[in-house]
Amino acid sequence: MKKTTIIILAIVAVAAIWVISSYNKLVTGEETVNNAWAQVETAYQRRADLIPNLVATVKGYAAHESSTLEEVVRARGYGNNLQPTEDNVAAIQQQESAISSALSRLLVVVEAYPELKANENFKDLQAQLEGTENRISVARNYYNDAAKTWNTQVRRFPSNIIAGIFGFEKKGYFKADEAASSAPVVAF
Amino acid sequence: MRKSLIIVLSLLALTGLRAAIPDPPSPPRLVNDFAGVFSPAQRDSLEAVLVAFDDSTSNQICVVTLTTLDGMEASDYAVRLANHWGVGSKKNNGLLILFKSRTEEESWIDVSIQVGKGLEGAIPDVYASRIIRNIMGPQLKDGRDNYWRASTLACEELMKLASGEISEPRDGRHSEEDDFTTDLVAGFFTFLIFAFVFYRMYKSFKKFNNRYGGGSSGGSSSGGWIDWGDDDYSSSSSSSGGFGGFGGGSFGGGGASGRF
Repeated sequence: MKKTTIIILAIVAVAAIWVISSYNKLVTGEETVNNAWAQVETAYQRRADLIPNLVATVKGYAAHESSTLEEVVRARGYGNNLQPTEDNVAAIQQQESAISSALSRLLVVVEAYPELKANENFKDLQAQLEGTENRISVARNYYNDAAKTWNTQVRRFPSNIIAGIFGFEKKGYFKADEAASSAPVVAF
Repeated sequence: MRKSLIIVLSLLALTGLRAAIPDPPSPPRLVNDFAGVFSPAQRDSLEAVLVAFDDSTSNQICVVTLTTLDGMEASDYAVRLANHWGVGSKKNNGLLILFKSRTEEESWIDVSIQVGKGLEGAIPDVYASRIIRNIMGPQLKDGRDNYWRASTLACEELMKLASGEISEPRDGRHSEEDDFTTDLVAGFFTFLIFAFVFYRMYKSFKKFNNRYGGGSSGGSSSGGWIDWGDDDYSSSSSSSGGFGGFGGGSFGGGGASGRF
């Protein structure tokens, strides 16, 4: 009688330890993804903050494209601290690629003005924009890698049991899109 | 049958693309002239100056020249290479200058400066872009193709900017543990290491000073504070101790690129 109690207690203890350690691993994993996600948000925010400066500089040359760009940036209607669920990532990607394509249309129009292209201010802006695009793509790659590790963790047996009990969910991926990946090459 | 062959081939192509980023050199070097645009003497003197800069400030500047980017954009290629090699220490204070040389197939020069995350404050994208536009550009434009001048001038500028942000000797690290006894022990050893490092630094500084004509170490802001040597530079770079290796720095895409 006493022996079985001890055995049951031992099993319970082992199970509890296993649950705790799996749970902690999942928490660590989720924090990694959240950190990667925050970097993506920061990079996008940085671009959105830069666009008013760009618009102010080129408005006189490309009025129509400038106002289109301003509109899509204003339509960027999500706050920070959004969780990277599959739906949210897809929605954000859609909004951001609208900005990307408005931006590249603007830059194509601006190409036709040599005096603007020779302007040091404009060159600086372009450099910042280029760096921001690079940061976006680096942050997105990093996030996708983190999300992949996380999703594997959540779906694999037996940690998926713990994930199910505590409500850990899969994260969304960024899909490759042409607009964001093709930062303009700056030729001098 | 044919389908599977296509799949196998495209998989091979994919892995080929992955393998396009070269592995870090062994033994590690800061100047990696894969395109062969520097003379051996130029390469060695640049290496010596960059190793001395790494030793004295812990900032790593890595110069890489290539003949092809395998269809990637310069900035994309550069950031992948920088992260793969881990240029810089854990402070993410690495810098990478990448050249794609002018070749018959691609008759332009691509330049990219990548700034490690820890140096983005000291070297914003705009500064990197100005270095490319206004300092490197004139050396590379219109078929001048002076990679060496472009590299040394850019390094000089980057060293000035970077040493304003992070400037502490290699190995002079502080312990961050809270535990009192470990602190005590670590403190003692740190003292020993410090004493040793400073002694070594003092000696190598004297050597460096002798070799480079006794300029002041403070880095006066006037132009040409580093004597880069020239083509008949002939002393071996190994005497300066050599490069200790990359420290796993990471890059977030800061920096700039240009094409000439």
